[in-house]
Amino acid sequence: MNWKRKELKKKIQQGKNNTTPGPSNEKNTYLVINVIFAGIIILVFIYSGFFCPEKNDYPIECIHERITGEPCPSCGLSRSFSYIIRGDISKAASYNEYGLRVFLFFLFQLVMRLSNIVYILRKPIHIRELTIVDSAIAIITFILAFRQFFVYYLQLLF
Amino acid sequence: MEENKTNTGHGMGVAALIMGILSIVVAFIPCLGLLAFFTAIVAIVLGAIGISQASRAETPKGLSLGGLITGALALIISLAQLVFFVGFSKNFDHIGERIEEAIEEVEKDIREDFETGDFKITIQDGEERIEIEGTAKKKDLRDKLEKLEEVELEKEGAEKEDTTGQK
Repeated sequence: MNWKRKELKKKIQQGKNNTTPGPSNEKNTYLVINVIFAGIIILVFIYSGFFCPEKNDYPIECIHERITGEPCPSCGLSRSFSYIIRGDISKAASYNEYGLRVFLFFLFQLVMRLSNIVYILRKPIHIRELTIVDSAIAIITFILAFRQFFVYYLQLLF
Repeated sequence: MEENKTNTGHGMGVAALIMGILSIVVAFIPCLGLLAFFTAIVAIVLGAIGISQASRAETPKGLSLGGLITGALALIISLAQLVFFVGFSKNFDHIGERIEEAIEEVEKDIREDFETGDFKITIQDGEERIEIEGTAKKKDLRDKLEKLEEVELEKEGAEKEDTTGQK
């Protein structure tokens, strides 16, 4: 186990030291981007798990509701995420009907990022192709997960 | 030295791209849409710096360009929300003025009606019919009130006289 960790550290260090252009640099860039996004998604999940939906002590308020006085389609998303983290799907759906879909998007993205990190560290080939496929999948899943919000924005404007 | 040159603007590009993608995700969440305005500006600034650095050193500027584009897209979405909010607040003010005007008009109508209005209430149940005639004129109402007060005073005076007579 320690040996594996050392190997990983060595590979990451090698990647950091490598500043030459080409596939190796591409690999490092892609690795950094994946690590950062995985970290951000994990932070989102920690945030959802840390704050309690019963207490409703979330530090981030809905700006839309504050200005217009009316709830928006993403209101209750934090509470919904918190209930999903706690395993209560029905309550999660009651707080925000799109909560589960958005949560699944983030979960899918986390799995993608982690699998990409493992792939880059183990077998760093076809990085450019992987980047293109990854971007396409991310855009499609993003549109699928956030489509109600797109519709809302369109209704807002027209 | 050559190695450093090949990486010029690269870090800025990565930062710009990450900020740009984050801004797009945040911008599409209506609750947080306005926050994306700031992150998008950061992405655009980083992207622009990255591009200028990369073009000076003649290194690839794809990442910076990606950051700039995603940042600009997020900024547009966020601005759309901002425009909506500004429009909403203007409309809201307008609605407030309209409500005020409507209330004033209704008040004025009521005042006018009470200055000149006479009314008649008819209640009919089969053959039985009751008619109540009244007036809402201020002057008439004042006269009636004065008459009623006079009647009350007369009654009180008569009662007092009765009690002293009995004694």
